[in-house]
Amino acid sequence: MGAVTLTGVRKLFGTMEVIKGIDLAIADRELVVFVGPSGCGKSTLLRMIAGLEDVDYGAIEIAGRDVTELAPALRGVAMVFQNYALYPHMTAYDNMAYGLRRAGLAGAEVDKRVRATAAMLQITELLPRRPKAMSGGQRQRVAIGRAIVRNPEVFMFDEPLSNLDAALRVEMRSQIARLHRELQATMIFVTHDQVEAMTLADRIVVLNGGRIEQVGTPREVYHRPANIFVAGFIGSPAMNLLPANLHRGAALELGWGTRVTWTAAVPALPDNAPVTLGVRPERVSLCDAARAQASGEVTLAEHLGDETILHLKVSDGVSLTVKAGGDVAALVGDRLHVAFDLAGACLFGPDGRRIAPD
Amino acid sequence: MTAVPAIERRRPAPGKLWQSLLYHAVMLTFAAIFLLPFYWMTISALKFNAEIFANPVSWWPDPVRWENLAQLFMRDDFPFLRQFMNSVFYAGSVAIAVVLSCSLAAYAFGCLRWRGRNLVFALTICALLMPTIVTFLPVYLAWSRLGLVGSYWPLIFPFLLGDAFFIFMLRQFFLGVPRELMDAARLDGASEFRIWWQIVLPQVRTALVIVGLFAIVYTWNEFFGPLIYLQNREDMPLSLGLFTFQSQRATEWSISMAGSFFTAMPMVLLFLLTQRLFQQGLTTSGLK
Amino acid sequence: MAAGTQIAVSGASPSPRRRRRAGRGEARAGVLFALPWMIGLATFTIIPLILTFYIAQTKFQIVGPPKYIGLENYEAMWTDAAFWRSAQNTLFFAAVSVPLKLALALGLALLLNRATALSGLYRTVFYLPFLMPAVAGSVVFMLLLTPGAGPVNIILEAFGFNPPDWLRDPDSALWAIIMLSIWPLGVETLVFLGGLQNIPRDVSEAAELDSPEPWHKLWWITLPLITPMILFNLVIGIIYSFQIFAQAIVIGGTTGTPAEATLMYMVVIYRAAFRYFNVGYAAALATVLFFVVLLLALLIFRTARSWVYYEGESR
Repeated sequence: MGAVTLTGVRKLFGTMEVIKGIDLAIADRELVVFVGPSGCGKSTLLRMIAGLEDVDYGAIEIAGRDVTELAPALRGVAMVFQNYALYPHMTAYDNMAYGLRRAGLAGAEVDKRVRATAAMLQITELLPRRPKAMSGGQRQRVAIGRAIVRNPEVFMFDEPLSNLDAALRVEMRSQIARLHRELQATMIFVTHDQVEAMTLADRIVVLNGGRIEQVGTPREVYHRPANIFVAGFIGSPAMNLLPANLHRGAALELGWGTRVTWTAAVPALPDNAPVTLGVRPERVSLCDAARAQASGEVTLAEHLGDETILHLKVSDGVSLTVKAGGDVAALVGDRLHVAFDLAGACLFGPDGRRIAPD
Repeated sequence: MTAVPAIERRRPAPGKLWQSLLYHAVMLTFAAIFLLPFYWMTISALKFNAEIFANPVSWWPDPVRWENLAQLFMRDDFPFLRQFMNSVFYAGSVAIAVVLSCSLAAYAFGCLRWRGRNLVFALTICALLMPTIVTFLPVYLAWSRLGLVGSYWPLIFPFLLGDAFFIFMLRQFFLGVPRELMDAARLDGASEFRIWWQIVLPQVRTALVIVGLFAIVYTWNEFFGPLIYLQNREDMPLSLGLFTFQSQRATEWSISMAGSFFTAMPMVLLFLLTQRLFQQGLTTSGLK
Repeated sequence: MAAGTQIAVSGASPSPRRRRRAGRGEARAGVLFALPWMIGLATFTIIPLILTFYIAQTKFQIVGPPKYIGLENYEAMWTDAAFWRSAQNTLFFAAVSVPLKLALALGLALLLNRATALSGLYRTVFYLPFLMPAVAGSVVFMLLLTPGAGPVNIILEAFGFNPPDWLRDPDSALWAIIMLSIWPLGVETLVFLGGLQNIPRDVSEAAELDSPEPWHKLWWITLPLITPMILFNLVIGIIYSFQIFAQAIVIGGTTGTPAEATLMYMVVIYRAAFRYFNVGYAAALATVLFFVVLLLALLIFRTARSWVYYEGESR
């Protein structure tokens, strides 16, 4: 029903290509999150699907219908904007009713739907108020109500939580997740916050420089990043990306000379091929000097209570992040020894793509 | 035994007080200088002609001649009331025309994306900086061919199509309307005209009032256009009427002053009532 | 659907660029909304400008058709004493009144930029002169400057000066007009004040922490941050001062009494066109004005890069 398909979608601003050929299929009732650094084109892509930006090449289908050249209001989509975009001179009621009235619905029907939606979101008492008289969280809920009341095929969220404080953000996040379950609708959610992406998404689309770097479930994107970019972008603190050389016979020579054994299958590469080893900070553990695979001086120790993030300088230009227990009392300047748990590690080939595990 | 010293609130240093007094003395002196013409205009309007040029100078009219003001409304060679109404009509029409036409164009420049927008806006800035006289003569000749010299058409009609300065000023306000608002309306199925009328204009209501006020003041004080296009005393707006009277009856200073007084006062009153809006308009148009 | 799949498969050869469709409503609305103004711009600015250039090359006396005479009007200008005199007066007027007015307005704005019980009153007072119609203001100034009867000379004499008979003395008459045009400096003052009040509080406080000298803050922080307003006021001020008319004609008539000391360029154009009905000559004068203003505007904007600070600019 509410499936969205993008085929060869491209977009130019002047001569600059900001969306460089996107092919993507979003299933009906799926919650997909577009994530990426600022300027990666995620918002532009969302606005193209909504019809707020032109599509220069390619096609967009919603619910089996080619909507590439259709006006935004006829696409069966609704959007929640970053700054809510509530009409400041209208009450919450009128804000929610505006789209229904434009669609030519009768007054009684409009009233019924607005009140039903407000009841569902528990914002009935906000209906006679104007946006100015509401808190950020209340505005957010009204904005969501305005989207829901139109009963669209596809919901779109353009960084809707970025203006809320931390506590409210967590609450709204769970509310959106609940809405997704209750409404059984397709949702596309744009954010630069990877925690939001991980917690909300059925599937994550990682964008960079107008291209898709990877599409996958949160688990896939976290544990099997398609390339170095995704590996570095998803996860906080970021994955350690260590320069290494892969020798035939599965020995991995790390940048500072240590050799470790690599047991997982790798495709054929020339001997001594330069590769990158990716190890999550929680897969690096402190150990004694005898078993050390790397040693370094602590340059920064962040004591977060239940855990400690240690930054080690291993050699010139190579530093390591270690996620250790909250009881570790290391200080800046201490020399520590660590070992890698390679079971969950990734190996990236010379071109930056993941070569193991495949 | 041990007396706790009472903690006294610190008082401002005496230097501060002197500084503040000096500041106000300077400002009040400046203020007096700036108000002097207003004062002189007012008392001269209430003097005998002879007293105006009396030596030594008289700083207060003696006797106060309220009759001067009454005379102003009874003279054939200075149909003050008629000209006052002309000014009201002229300024009001231009203000309405400006608000209508410029809010359309300023919206197109400030909120919509279309091919050629930057070029047309650049031309608008050029028009804004262009001395009036450079384009004045052909336009005058055209109006004269149309037989409309002597009417208010040449003075009002151009504003129905827009004015570079007021478009520039209004655009500054339209730029402040978030694009998301228009996008939301597009998703809600509003037509482009409806977005302008129902969504965006309500956000800039204050700006429209500000632009209307500036248009009124500008038109009230406008002199060159009326001088060229209007010949009949009965048709003239106040500032031209005052000029005509002054240049023909140069000796009747008290009437001239009374005329000046009543020409300036409506704008002063308008300003005093809407001061906050004026200031907002100025600070917005002055930013790049 | 079939077409879409095919594109995805062929991949290498992209589909033809689409006509912009989704945003076309907006683009069409933009042109439509701007259309009245574009017509106005063409009818009342662009076409007349070109016609002025043409009329300037004709002998044209309103009645009868214009006769092409090439550059004769410009040659006549070269030997026209009134042209030279008025150009000289106008340039002198602009060169003196604009910097004076801006400096005074800036000083006043700096003085006004503090919160006291009387701030509102001061702002109002300094703005009022702008609301005085130029004609009325000029008439009042004629009285103010009358020796023996006007207060200006009385006050100056009381302070021991020996003021001239402003409006009858050819050496001082232009100064009277300069005073008259500086008087309404409320607009410039409020624009500057707006700029001053836009300076973020933390920047201002940082400057105070960096140096105890108020002059340092003024010269290195405050002034650079309001250069955009200075540019704005300078450009508008120069262009308007070249067009000074009402004050000049009230005080000096069409002949620039006394002794052509107040004869301004606009007055010369006015009398050429509407007194002597020599429209061709007036158009030539207007053309010269156009190019002088164009040149000056280009000059100012060209140098502006080096002294005007714009937010968001990294240098």
